[in-house]
Amino acid sequence: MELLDLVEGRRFMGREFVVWLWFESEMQETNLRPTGVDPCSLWLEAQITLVLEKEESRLKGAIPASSPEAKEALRQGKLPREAKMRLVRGDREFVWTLKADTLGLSGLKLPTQLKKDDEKHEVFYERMMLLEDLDATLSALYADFVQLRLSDAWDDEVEPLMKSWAHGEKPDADAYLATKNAVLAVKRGKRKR
Amino acid sequence: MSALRGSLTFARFYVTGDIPDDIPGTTLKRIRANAFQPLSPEDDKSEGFGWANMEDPVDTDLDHEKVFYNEYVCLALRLDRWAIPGPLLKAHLRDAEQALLEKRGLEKLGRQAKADLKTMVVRKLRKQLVPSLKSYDMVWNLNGNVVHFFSQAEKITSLFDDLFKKTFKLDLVPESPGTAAERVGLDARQAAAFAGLEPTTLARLEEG
Repeated sequence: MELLDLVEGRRFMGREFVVWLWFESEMQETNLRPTGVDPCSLWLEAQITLVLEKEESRLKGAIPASSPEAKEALRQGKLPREAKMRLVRGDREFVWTLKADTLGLSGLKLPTQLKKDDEKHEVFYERMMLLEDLDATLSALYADFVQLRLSDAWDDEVEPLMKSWAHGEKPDADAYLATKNAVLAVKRGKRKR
Repeated sequence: MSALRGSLTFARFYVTGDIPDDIPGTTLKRIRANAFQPLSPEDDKSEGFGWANMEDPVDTDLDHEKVFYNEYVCLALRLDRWAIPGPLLKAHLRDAEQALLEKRGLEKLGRQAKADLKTMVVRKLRKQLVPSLKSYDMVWNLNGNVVHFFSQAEKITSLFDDLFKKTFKLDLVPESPGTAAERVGLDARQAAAFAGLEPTTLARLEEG
């Protein structure tokens, strides 16, 4: 695939990734276990913008993704263009806004311990270590999403469960996790070989 | 936008191409050759850009210690721009036009004369002003060959892309949902599924 097609023609996957993270977070009560990195808690908070072509729903609040308006937007076919997120691992908390179309992060707050007056190289290394830690987690989550998205299970099982969730029904979380784990177990098996 | 303080806003790029093993040893000369050069009031261009010290963008005398932090290449893209306030330019232009008309005994200036006069006024005003300075940090991790560039503005990332390629003779692939998916490492079946992928909607058909 040419680079332009790869970039422009697959932007929709970013929006699907954000809605999957949202679904995944709700199905697992925020406790995520991305492949190859440590578990973490992750949820959407404060603001989310959902779009379908030129129609836009911009929602704010403590947890706007839990609001009826957010699910209504999904039912209208809108998907998140950007969403503010919080990730907690141990005593570290990261907050940022994920831009779905580029996977770019904005307004990322890092849980730094050092102060700006500390030794400048140490301040830099701490920030990069934290940034790369978050990068690794998001990359692992994205890789899990891609494995699931490109499997037959997406159309057969995951998408119907996500639709059911968007429509206010109570999807079978155990069935979802079993499907996801089966798909990712194949991936992990390949990685081990 | 800084990597060193405050909250972070960035775009990621993957470095591709024939990446030398010894980046510090082979690229410092080219980095220095592409360091920021100060704007002159006499220049035709209204902006200029180049590399600067990430810790102090006023410093463009780059050496090993300022650029290479262990496995990281750290630079700032410095972008200076002559920014003459519109009303100031308009007022000076009006006065200059009036003076020229009186001097030549004319009622109206031609298009070329107006353009020449504007160039002269702009250069004169530039001598009384300091260009605006902005800088955007870049951190390239040589272990993973991933670059964090601390801006998402299209124009700025385009300047960065040009300067990076010119300096390092390497390509940059922007991170995006598509390029990130490809980097996951797809097998043949997944690659075929990826090529034919259609967007998901959570709307049910009967709801339109």
